[in-house]
Amino acid sequence: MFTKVLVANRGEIAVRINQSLRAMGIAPIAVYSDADAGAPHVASADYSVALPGNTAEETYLNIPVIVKAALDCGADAIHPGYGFLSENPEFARACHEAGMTFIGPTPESMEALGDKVRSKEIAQRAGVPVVPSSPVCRPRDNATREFAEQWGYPLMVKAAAGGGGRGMRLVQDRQDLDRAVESAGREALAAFGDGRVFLERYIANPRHVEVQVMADSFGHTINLGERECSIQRRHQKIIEETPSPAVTPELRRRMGEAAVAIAREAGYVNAGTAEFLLDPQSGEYFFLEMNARLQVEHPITEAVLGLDMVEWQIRIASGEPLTLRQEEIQPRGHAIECRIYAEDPYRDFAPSTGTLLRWRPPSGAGLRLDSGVAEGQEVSIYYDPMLAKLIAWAPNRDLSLRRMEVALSQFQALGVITNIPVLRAVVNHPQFQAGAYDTGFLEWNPAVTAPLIAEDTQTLARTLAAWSATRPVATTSPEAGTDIRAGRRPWQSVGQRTLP
Amino acid sequence: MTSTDGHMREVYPVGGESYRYRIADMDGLFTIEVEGEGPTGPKAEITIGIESRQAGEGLCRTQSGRTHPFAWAWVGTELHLWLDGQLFVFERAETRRRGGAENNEASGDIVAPMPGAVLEVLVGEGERVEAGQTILLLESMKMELAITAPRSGVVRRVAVQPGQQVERGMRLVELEGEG
Repeated sequence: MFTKVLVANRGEIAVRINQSLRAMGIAPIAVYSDADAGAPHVASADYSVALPGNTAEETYLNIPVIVKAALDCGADAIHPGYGFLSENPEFARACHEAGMTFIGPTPESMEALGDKVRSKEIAQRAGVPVVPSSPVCRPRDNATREFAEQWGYPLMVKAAAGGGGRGMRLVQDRQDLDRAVESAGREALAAFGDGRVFLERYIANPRHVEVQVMADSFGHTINLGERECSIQRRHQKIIEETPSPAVTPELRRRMGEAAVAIAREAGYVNAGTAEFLLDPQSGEYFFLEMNARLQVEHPITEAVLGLDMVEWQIRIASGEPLTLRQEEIQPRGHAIECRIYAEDPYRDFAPSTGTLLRWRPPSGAGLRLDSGVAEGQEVSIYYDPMLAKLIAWAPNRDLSLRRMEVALSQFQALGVITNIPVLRAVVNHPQFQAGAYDTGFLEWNPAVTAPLIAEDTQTLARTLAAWSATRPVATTSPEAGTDIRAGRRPWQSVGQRTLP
Repeated sequence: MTSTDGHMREVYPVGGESYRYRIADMDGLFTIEVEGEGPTGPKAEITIGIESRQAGEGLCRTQSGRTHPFAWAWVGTELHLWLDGQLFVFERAETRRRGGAENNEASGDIVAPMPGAVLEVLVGEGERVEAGQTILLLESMKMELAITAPRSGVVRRVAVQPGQQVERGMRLVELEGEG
């Protein structure tokens, strides 16, 4: 087993991986940008290395600097988390070449599956249905025109290297196609360093259901059940639950087998997720893509199965066999996750920034919080606006939803606008509670994203604001270190390996 | 018994309306009169008990016996208030709004709705634009945001360049004509 592992990430996922590493007796090493000095992911690690700069390119996407940091600290392995370099085969290769283990799949299967075009070919070879799509295209080329003519509008533009809604556009008619291809390509290049895009047939009102797979290096591959991820804004998930209200035991078995077949076909090792579009009417499903990494919403799977997926990722990467058998995988109860974002849900989910002057998450039976921020921290424009994930488990779906609703109503955050009230409105919505929703939920229910405040609450808010305004102001003079533009702080140079 | 008067304005989640208040304090029991100035502003008088052990947080009890934890913090000139799971933002009505974050249609300024970097400017000075037309692309937190014209008109001035960092509320483009 490893003794030191560098976590090449930030925020809640780095904190969460550090927890598993420590529980296994492995020393976590954090890396951090200037803006992240003193952030929870640094505080929860045993060692830390500064990555000079602030942009993702200078820091968390900087392969040579991260590999050097790991070598300098004597790391045996690197865990990439999700996002950043997690699906970058070059990074996995660089780790291997430097004599360290990359905790994840091989660069070859990552290359094949990370590419949405090639991953579909793998799925087809495995006998799994896929959504029709075009070859990689450019604005104003023939492939673009032909595909659009064959399948008509609306259609989707997607990034070949993509994920998380980046580099993705819905095109309603012909005149928007070229601009969408161009803009998606540019966004994909900025986010993934790869600007290739393709077109895909648009399936109206689908549900987004994904299946977690886990495979060891001895050819043992199992599925860990599905996650329902249909509540999305801008094609990015904000609420996930498992089991899916739309998946019958029979469908669960078929989709689980399909996901395992794809993983086997790709020679996949470690944790991965097969994403499907599900037509709730016909029960038809189409393979969308395979995410060759840990998924943001993995905690709901952990909650119903009572296991630590990061621990398994680490065990598998260190060469241990996966000792779980498919028959043992029986979900218990129900789990739901809400992603807390620094964004204004009433203004088209525009990102918000500021200092988290108050951050008091709720606690209670069945609750879990994976948080990457702490009170007093600056939320900057440099990274993804997700602050934390709140997970509620209960023996049944109704109770897990109620636990989530109560927890969201108690979650105190000040200084940065968050999407919490809208998450709560979704969880409270009769259609959501009935389980009858699809990826168009927010679009069909605009009232959910409207600031409807009861008159009593409004009056009480005015009253308490008036009262609060008369109180002496607790001065929060910025200490050295709260201004991210102030540059390097002295503590970074004490006993730290600071890279040039 | 002490009494304090003031004048506040709502900023978020619904902005614009201002109201006057008068607070009478009798040993931690507060009678607060609020009177809205806008068309929807109700006049209300509430007596509440407030327990606040440390700055920035409190527990309020209304006359029906209902308790409401609440919390507040000043962000510059803005008062952030958390109540019943919702964030509210207020400011003192005496405070002048700096710039204003919303696109003010009357002034013709199109401002940045969030901090970020200008990716591309799609219009030139003197060019005619239609309402809803995309005039520039902004990138923030790795996402692209299309800024559209709130109304038709002619571009008087383009105040930013591609690559430039902008703060929320900063003027991007100035429009003239057809108010």
